[in-house]
Amino acid sequence: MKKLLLFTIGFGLFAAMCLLLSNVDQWLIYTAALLSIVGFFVILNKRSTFSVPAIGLSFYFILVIISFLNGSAIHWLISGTVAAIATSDLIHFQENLQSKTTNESTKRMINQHIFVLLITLIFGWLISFLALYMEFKLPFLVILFLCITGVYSFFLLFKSMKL
Amino acid sequence: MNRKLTFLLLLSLALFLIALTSKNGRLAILAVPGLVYVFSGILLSPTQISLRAERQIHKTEHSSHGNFTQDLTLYNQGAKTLHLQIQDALFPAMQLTEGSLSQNLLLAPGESYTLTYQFHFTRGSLVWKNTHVIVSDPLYIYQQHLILPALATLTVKPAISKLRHIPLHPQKTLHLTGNIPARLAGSGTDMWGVRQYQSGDQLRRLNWRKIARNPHQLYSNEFEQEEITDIGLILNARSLGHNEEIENELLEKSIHAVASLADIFLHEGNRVGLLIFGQKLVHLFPGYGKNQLNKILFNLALVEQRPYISLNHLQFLPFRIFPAHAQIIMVSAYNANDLPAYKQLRAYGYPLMLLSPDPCSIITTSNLDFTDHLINQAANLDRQISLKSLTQLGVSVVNWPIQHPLNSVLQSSLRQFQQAKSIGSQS
Repeated sequence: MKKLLLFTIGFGLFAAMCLLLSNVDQWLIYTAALLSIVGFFVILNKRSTFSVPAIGLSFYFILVIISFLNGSAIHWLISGTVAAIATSDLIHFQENLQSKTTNESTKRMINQHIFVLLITLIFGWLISFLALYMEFKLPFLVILFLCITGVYSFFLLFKSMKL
Repeated sequence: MNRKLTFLLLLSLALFLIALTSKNGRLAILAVPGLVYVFSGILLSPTQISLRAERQIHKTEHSSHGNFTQDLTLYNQGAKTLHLQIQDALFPAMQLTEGSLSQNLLLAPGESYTLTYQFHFTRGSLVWKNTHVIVSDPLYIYQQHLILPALATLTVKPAISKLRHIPLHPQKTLHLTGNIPARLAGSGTDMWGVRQYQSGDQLRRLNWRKIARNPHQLYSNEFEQEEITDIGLILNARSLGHNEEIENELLEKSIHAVASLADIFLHEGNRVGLLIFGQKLVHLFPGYGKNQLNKILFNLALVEQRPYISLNHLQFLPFRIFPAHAQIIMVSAYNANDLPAYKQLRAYGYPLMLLSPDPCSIITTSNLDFTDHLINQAANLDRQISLKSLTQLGVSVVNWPIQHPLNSVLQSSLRQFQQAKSIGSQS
């Protein structure tokens, strides 16, 4: 559990740092915003009816969008988003573990969770950076085909989830 | 659908929409890490799940009546390691005493895991049919809810207190050796009388004092024959719709009393029948031995408090399941409306004993205010008067303040009956 907590704090700090570094000129505004998120987080944490990681992540995304529209560096924002998702996931995972009793497989479960999370987010980070630098043009029909295929894939996916 | 998955998809969709409205493709890139995270969860979720569940219930060692341990074992018979959440459920009548009903675990292929918890369940029957298991990916994004069959049944019979011998004096007995005085001369332990010697009488039975007074005659002592008898136990399981808590407590005490009475009477070799009078009728024909005791306890285990039905319905009841002149023992918190039914029972010729758990005794008078205290006193008086009218009918009434042990209440009441009888016979 200590390991999880360390990773959570680490990712959280990294997410905050990325947001501040994305627009160094307006660091004071973002610091205030981040502190207010932490404040909300502390208050909400006492009321178990709210999903704290979800609300925290939503606030972070709002800050990222505002920051982006204000002309911040997108590289830092992507890294911050990745770290924020990791923080949210780890808080959620900790809540899930705390609500149930632990057993001998818990340690194995934590290790596997962190491993899969790191791989996934590194992959997500790489794809995002790839999308940032790679640009190519596609004919309209191909885009239409890809859109229809995408929508149909979503439909199949949700159907398999018994929605 | 998992909340986490819904939330992340909605967040990514919102980013795309903002990117579209602001005509800024780079903003959509910010949604990519979230989408990768979601899709990796979906891709990593297991497709072929082969799980088996088994449930075992056993009595908790070194514990009192009603404590049980449940082992719910899950076997992973598939080829992939599974992230599982077991979520077992409690029945309303159960109380969890130790352990947890939910558990997160990682189950490798061929591995098994046993979730153990302890619970308290005093009386009744429970049937488990399945258990709820959630299988998810390592990131807990995509969850599949499974209902696995895990059958188990548990019937908890009511607790029994060992009672001392209850001296009954029924008019009729069955001609089999027992320990109830049969009002007949025979081979017993209590002195019955003296008669003239008959050939075959044992010499140790000669009454030497009488012979000394009448030297030319021989006299033998006679003893009271001890036999078994027919006993009918009636349990009143009606709800009077007053106070659920008090009524439940009264019912539990009544069930405990019937179980203990059945135990002692059957142990002494008597023939015992049972009639449970609730919303539906349960009756057991008279029988002997441990088998009959098990049947009685099983039926008592299933008794539930039922809405009010007048005891006047007794006239329609199959009373002939009890043999004529069988000793009837009714266990019921007496209600004044039931008086005609008791009259009818007496008219059938059954010797009747009422063991009545006292509802007024449950209420702790120290917590009552002045008005409630008066109400409680009035209820107590009303009850005393009602019970008195039953006594006048020839019903032996045992008023049972339920804080007192049944054994001592029964013994002292029966002693009082005997004293009253001897005073009556002397006068």
